[in-house]
Amino acid sequence: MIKPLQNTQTACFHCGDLCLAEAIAFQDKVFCCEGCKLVFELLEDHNLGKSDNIEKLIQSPNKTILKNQFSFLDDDDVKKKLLSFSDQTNEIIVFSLPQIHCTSCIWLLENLYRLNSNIKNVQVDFLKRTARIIYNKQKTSLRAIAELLTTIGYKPQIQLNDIYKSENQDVVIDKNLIYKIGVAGFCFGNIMLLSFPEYLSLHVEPEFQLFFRYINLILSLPIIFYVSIDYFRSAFIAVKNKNINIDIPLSLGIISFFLRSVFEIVSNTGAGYFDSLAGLLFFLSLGKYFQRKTYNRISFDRDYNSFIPIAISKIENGKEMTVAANKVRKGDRLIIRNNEIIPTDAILLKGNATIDYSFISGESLPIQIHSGDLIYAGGKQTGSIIEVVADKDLTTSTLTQLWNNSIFDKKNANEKQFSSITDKASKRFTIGIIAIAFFSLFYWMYVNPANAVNAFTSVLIIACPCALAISAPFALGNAIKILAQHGLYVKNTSVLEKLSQIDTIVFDKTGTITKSNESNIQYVGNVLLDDEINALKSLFKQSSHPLSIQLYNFINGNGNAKLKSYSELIGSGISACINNKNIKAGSLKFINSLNIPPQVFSAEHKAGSKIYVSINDKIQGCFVIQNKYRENLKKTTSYLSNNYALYLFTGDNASEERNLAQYFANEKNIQFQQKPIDKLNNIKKLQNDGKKVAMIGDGLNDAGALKQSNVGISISESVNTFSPACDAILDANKFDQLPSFFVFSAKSVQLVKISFFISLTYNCIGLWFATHALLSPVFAAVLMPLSSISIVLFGIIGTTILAKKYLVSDMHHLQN
Amino acid sequence: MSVLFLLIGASLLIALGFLVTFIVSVKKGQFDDTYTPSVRILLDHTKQNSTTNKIKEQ
Repeated sequence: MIKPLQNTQTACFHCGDLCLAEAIAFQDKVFCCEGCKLVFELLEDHNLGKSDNIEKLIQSPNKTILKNQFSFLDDDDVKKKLLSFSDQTNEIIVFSLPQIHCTSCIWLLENLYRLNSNIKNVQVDFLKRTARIIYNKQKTSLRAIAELLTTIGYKPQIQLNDIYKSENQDVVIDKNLIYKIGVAGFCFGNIMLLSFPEYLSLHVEPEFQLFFRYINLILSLPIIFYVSIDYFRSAFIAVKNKNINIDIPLSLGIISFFLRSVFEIVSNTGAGYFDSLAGLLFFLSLGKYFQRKTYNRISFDRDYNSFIPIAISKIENGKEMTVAANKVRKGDRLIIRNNEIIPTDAILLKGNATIDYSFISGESLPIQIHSGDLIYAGGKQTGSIIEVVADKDLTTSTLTQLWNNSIFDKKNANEKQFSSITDKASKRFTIGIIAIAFFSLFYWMYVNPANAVNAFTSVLIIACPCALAISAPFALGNAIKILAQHGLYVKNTSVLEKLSQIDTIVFDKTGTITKSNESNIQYVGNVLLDDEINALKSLFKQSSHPLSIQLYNFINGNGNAKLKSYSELIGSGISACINNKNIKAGSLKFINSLNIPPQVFSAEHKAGSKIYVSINDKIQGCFVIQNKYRENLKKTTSYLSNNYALYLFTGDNASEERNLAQYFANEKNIQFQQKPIDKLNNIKKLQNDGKKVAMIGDGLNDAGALKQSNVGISISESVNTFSPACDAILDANKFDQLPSFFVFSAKSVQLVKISFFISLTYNCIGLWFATHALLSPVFAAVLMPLSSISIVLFGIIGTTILAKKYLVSDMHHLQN
Repeated sequence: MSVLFLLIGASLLIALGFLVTFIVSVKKGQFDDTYTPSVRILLDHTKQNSTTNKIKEQ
């Protein structure tokens, strides 16, 4: 199970989980959520289960709802997309509530009907962080429920693209596979049981023998016509496309197994190989299931839709109303509040726009926009309310255009080009097998025609590459599970194979090699008095600029000083009069309005953003705010540079060049001011030079590059938060383990190659018997499961040992 | 000995019964959430809504 990552280190008094930033203080104890606090109160009162405290929740809401925040939920189109069921009286909605984190949450949410009697039932899925709510639609509305949830601290995460519907499709496929395993297991077990007399060569009366054999024949029908149908289909498609994949020899084997067995039984010459056939498909289906790793709360295929807000405030006929964001058309007047995202390219009409493009361009500092200027879609407003007019429809905005890039069209092109290690091995294998089969056919036709068909089918049966087909699923499937436990969530096994071929790694800067939520702040200059420090804190408290917020958190003090004549010059700085001192903070130009030559601080030469401070127009010093690089970055890059070429593509300017040079030895490989499309093209260029590129990035600005690269790894501070489409998601805390992840994947793929050799050895032994026309059902019944089980064990035990050897927090093990 | 015909038929029917039960339970979603029910059983339920079970999802 994945624990949410948290910054504050206070543990909840009730459940012991670490508290999020919005911890609730009650009776000098700290709780992580309302649920925990309530349960604690219940226990405290010895009034188990009877308390009516829960009803108090709505009387004293701890979260305020913005007016019209959820009004888009009244829109029938939006509702239709979100609801999973609706009839005359009832509706069912599945809300994603990422805040769910402890048992008290389950308790609180499942008792929601006590807060709104029209809610009939709530069922929480803890692992998926969802709540399925059934309510009476005539008496309450979806909007009311969303508002109620927000009031008690569980704001539903509603996204434009319908996540649940696509997820449901996966579930259906998954369930089909489980049914197949069930059916195969049932047939396998019963056929085995009925074959026992044949194995032990017991004397059985002929009528029983015939009875057993025909029951076996009947039991094998679901195996052929239901369980194996996927293999036939895949083999057929491969033949049609003139490809060779593992499913071709498998299908040939399955068909020969079946036809020869039917022939033997009908002609009453033998017992057939139904037991081996059923076992084969049972193991194959199990392998398929094993290599499929589903993560409950991770999505690898998010596009811009999950980033754009679902609804937006629009002004129509002088009235403000909420509309679904995908209905925004050119010319619409929109209201954007603090921290809201602009859904489409728009022109600023009114207000102070300070747009944070960090998701789009990777530039970490917000940009000042003037009235009449264009704001690009995906920018986030920081500060006061602004009014804009949409310049384009949502579907043609710059943000959407990145997705219309051809790379996103041929979604599966990359996957098609890539032939898995199993398919590569099976290519030679298949040709070899067919050659041997025909060779033995012609040989026996010449020597003893009675044996010819027997030998031919025996070769196809015994060479059926069951062990070959299951070695990769089991070994790599287990490797994926191990990696997930260590913080790298890989999409599927083929990503692991690609990872082992990587020779070039490209990093993004902001949020990837630097921490996105922390920075290094340093004060350089004259020593300030305590009350001056406090005055500064109070000053920074007033501004919502990201740098002010960082400085407010950095400075000690209570920040309660009284301000007079506070003013903020957007993009320059802030000033106020505190304790009769005129205090200013901001850019050098803003502070130095009197043109006094500035004192030279040692900070002048430092990289990073600088905020100067003056008291009564005398410059006192300056705060230097630097990106904080991840722990062990130096160690990580130097390990990686032994085996890989390292590149850095960043949207930021070159101000940190000197700092970066110590991490990336080759300065030519550091490229600044890279727009999303530049990153994509640069990676394409590397690939055209024959490089296999892994891109490690975060945010929407890397989305194109992540998609273009052979393996796109998205780095995430918390697995719950947004991450663009990628092949793998890396837990940001595990960044320094990246080298070991690479080594582990390469070794796992080597392990699969070794197990190919083992399974080939089994096939060779079998072939010797088959070509000499000596294959007996018992021999097949023993060899087949023996080879399969030994390959499964080899794969699982092997990867577990590799994990012990390479995946340790201590990096010293990597030195050889 | 001919009772074996009957016995084997019966044993197959029982096994088939288990297979059907397995498929039905997967279909109904018994294995979808393997964690929450273990917590839910420990929580107090003051009142169960009887209408709940009548509504079935499509």
